[in-house]
Amino acid sequence: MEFVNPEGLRLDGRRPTELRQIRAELGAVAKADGSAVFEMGNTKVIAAVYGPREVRFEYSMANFSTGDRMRRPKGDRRSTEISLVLRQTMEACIMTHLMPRSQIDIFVQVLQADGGTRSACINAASLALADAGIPMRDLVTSCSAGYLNSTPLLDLNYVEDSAGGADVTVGIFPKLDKVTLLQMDAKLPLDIFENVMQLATEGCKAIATELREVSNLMKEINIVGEHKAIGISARGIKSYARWFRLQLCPDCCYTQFLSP
Amino acid sequence: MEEDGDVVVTPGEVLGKSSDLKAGAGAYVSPQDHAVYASLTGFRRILSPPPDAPDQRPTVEVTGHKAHGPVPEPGSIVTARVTRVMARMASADIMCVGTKSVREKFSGIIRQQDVRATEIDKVDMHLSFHAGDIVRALVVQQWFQLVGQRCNAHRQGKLSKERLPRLEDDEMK
Repeated sequence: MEFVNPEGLRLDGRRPTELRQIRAELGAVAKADGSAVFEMGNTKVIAAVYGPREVRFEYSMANFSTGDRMRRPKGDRRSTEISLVLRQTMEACIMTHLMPRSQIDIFVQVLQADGGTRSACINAASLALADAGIPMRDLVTSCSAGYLNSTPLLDLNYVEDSAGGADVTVGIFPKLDKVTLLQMDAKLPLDIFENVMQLATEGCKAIATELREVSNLMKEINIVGEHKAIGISARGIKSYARWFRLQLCPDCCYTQFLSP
Repeated sequence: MEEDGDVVVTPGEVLGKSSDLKAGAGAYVSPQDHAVYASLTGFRRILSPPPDAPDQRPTVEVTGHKAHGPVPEPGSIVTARVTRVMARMASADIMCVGTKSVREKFSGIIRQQDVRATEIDKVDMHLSFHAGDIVRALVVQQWFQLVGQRCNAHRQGKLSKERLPRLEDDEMK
């Protein structure tokens, strides 16, 4: 099958080094301490963060739960593996030593899967953590890249992902320039692997600038809300905010949820 | 003097070198390159050091939009509401730490021997506390299992100023 046509375009019309369209939104889950929706093309993931909260019981829940709405008997292998990957990636970035004996729950749910779900999960979780105000070393971002038709391709969609070629998922700390996650589920010659990984890293950095923008924008909205809370309208604050949280007074814990 | 910046930073952004700046809340120093990074999303503020401080570097801090509520820790003075009185102890919900109200629930225990300084074994908990009483208390110990926070409370009227430092001394041992 031809994944890159003679004009150099992919099945969905992208160039080999082009990301899919990214959309992100903070504060989608009103009850959570922090939450985000992250979309890359048709892949859509929602993440909610609760905590840091006191650990009250001896037994502990799984820190992550992924999967779809089907009740699965006891976490299938795929979601267990993704949970583990997500957990390790997030643990590396959260400054856990500042919150001893506390628990942070991150719930990630894939709403639409079109390839690159674990990257999208990491990006969504990262945004949700930033929204929750949990101290982090850096805003972790993740992106995948593959190698099909002797071309390195950035941000594989489902068709490209299931074509059987190599799929390299990279997670980085963009500002610190460190790799936190690297997965590949096929074999590649070393020189090609380096190219593919380089491409995925570039993708991560591009996503990082996008995430920072979303994060900054929401910050401004929240500050406006904090100072003059009553009667604010969300109109004119771009389309990022669907729900946002207003904090009236830090001491009285009163919060109000508005929709635009 | 403090500079109230309009600069919004996100986690991982470089705020300066650790030789020029001290990392305050919401910032950290990376051991690898000795740079100061932000760890929260929020406004950057640079605070000048007090003129008599030995370390004359200004402190940079990032104030996030979602400030976490205060958390009681050993040594903090809390205001608590008594929820249940038993023969040897009373349980209480912590409402304020210092002057700030808590965001989430913390519960504590006032033990019989911690109610007053003298004749501690003759304290009658039922005469000392009622459910619903508001008490000011010193947190003596933290307990992280089933009981969330273990606190040591004094009935408001019985709290004497001499008593509090003594408790802290006890705690040091």
